[in-house]
Amino acid sequence: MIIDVSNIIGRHKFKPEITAQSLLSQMDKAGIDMAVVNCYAESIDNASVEQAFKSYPGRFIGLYTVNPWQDNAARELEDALANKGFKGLYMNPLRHGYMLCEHQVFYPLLEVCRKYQAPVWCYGAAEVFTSPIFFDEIAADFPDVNIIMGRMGLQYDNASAVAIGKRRTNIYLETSSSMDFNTHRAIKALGPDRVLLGTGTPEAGYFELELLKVRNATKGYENGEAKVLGENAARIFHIK
Amino acid sequence: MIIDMLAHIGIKKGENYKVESLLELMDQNGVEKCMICSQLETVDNDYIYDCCKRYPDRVIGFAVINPWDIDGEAEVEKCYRDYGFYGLKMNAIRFGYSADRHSILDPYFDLCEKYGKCVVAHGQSDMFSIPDKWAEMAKTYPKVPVMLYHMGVPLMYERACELARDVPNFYLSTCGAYVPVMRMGYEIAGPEKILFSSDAPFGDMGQEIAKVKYITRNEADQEIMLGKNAADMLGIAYR
Repeated sequence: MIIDVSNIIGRHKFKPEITAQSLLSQMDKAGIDMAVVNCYAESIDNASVEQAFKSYPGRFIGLYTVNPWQDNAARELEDALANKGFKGLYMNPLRHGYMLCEHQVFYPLLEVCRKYQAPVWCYGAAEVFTSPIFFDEIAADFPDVNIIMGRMGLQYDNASAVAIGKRRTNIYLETSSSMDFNTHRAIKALGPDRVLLGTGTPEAGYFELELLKVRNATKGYENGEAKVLGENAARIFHIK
Repeated sequence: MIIDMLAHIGIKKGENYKVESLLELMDQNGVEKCMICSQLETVDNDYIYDCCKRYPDRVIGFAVINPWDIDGEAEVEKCYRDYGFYGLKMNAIRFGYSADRHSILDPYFDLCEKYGKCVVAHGQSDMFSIPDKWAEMAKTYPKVPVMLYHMGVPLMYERACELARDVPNFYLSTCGAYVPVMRMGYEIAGPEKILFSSDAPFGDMGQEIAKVKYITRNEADQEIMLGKNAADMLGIAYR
């Protein structure tokens, strides 16, 4: 089973809407069984995500997006996880304007994730607000929450991302946007159990090329391809 | 005794700042000793050594290298073993590396540990130099004092102050920091974690001293920040 942990669907203020149906047809063409989906952080549209996983059960896993500066953010997230069928949290500190060292802003959300054993997908490119180095302390403070480091330090902070990932076993590195060397480095350093296929559609990649990249990097690891392409994601998202 | 923890001197494109000019500034502002190091853009540790030999009671030599240089480690070792320099000045932006890039930096920190020297580093909230990265190095090398210039401004000063509070060998230095930030550092991390620097001639020595004095009226704490911490870190007798 192939699970892709980084995809956007829904409406955007300026860009064309990505419908569940259009993503599904691309997935079918590329042989992707399930996609973890979130809305655009800047144009929050959780309704489209919810509609997608309810319309196509077994094909989509929904991440809930909320601006953590909102007063009711934690309550809203809890409702999404407890009552609406969302399976995790999507965080984008750049779009929502907070630094990953400003713990008081988003730790209430992580407490909710801990309560529901829901994973977190957090943008982790080489940006000041999202630098991989911050994931170290977050992962230490929430050792029982699985954290997917999206973009795994794109690109200049990949060495840092890998070092932090190696140190914290609840961090998973996700391959969207990574160049070949970095993909290899991630799997080599962490082993094939803690790297996840992510394509970053529509922004960061196409299914076919990303599959090629990741398959190439898993060569030589026992059961590596199956793990990185699906088994690891199935485990942390509690997919049977 | 006031000890200024940063002055880049010597030749670089468009500038040739002599140690004698620095000594004038020091005399004008009551600064007894000043850390000196090479310009980053044109590295010349030999000029710093020459200044140290000529004014041994007034200047404190620090090494500058490009960590990517093939023979960078040998140069630092020469600066410690032969020149008697007190530590290494680093700048991740100028030389294009991330400050937590262990594969590049560890050999230099090993040398600092071996010779009992400190690392002083540019520390604004730019991508390569954010405070957490230098704190990562400090945590990795607990015997090596690591001092962060600029206290994490513009964005990450609170974080820098917290790290200085939490990491025993991680210090902050005042040049270029906003005054409220310096006060925050004083309150969060305490005066023992804050060292005065002016970044002269880029920074105004008199104004930078005034900023430190502005954040507290406690003269004992002022002395700690203006000189005593530096003397302790460098192993210099404090008067």
